Amino acid sequence: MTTLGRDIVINQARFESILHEHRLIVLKVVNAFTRHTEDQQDLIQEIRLQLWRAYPTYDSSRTFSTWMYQVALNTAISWSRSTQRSKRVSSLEQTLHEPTVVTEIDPDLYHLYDLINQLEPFNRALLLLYLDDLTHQEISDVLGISVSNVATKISRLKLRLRQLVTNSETPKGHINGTR
Amino acid sequence: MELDELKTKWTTINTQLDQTQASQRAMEQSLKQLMLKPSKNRLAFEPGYELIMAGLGLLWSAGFVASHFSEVQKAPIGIAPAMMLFGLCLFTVIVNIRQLILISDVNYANPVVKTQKTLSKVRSLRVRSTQAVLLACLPTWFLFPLFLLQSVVGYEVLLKFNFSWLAANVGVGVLLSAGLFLLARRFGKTSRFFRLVEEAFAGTAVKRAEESLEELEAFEMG
Repeated sequence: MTTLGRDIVINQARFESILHEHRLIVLKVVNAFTRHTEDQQDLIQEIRLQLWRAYPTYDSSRTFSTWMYQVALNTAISWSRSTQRSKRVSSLEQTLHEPTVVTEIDPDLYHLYDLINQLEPFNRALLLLYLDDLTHQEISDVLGISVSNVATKISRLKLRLRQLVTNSETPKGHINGTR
Repeated sequence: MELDELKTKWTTINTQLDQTQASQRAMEQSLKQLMLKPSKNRLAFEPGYELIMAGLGLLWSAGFVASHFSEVQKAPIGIAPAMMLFGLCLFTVIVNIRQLILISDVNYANPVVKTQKTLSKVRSLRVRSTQAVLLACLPTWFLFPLFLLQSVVGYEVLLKFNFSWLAANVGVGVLLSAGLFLLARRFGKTSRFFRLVEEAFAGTAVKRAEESLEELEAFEMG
């Protein structure tokens, strides 16, 4: 094997290892943008491809997870805007009801997923980053908006969630039924 | 329920999500296909292809005019199809070069708003140019086969057609446009091609591209 070939293999192995470590980011982003299994696979592939392409330009002074969020969100937003995706709902029940995973589902999570589904792609990205406990500065870096703008938008999102919960008349028992 | 309260639940559910068989399958599948998967990013492919084709058209029409220069001076009307093709190709070349310049700025590792703004500009430019080309070409479609005929048979072939024949063909072009519009409305929901045509006629793609840019600017401004 040539030196170049060996470098590529080492790089790829390193990339796969880091990616595996942070795979939850990909899954979170994918789940926030599509719930259909085929679309999810498609988007996961697209994100991995974009991550692999962008990997050589990764600046190690930044945290990998923030960089990964940036690439994954950019890919997911482009993916969701590029074509009119079918409005196939939802493998969420299927996913959440997998016997190995969850035995009892918190109804609030449905409200949260409802909220996420109702948001525009950019607010969806913002909420995702907020829920993942990124600081306002980190969110500002990933999205490319000012820190004060981040704070304002998060307050609005909180208000929206409150309204959504208030307006919701869904009985808690529906969770185990079909939607 | 407050948003803050949901953070813990969110982490829990996503950790569980990671353990689902479906997620694991998707990740494994993508790993296998990563190196085999052709790029779905056709951003640069379409403008690149159109640029090459339009460049060839530009050379062909310019070459035609140059090689029939003496005949052009005698009968300038005969140059109309070549000039039409030249204009269309020049427009396409300029628009596609502009698109490729914008695309070269796209970097998914840049902040989301910046990247999406560039992508929105590319989309906006693309749908606008598609609409302009479609609306210009449909009523004047007959000029293209005429140019082909001139290239094969000779420059003077156009001079054998009189003005009323040309006017009738413009009419046919308009009727064809109307027919295509009706077909697009009828089959727009089932066929991608007809949907694109319908959007170009109605300007919905342009409107959507503008809305997308406005949405971005609103998000950026707060």
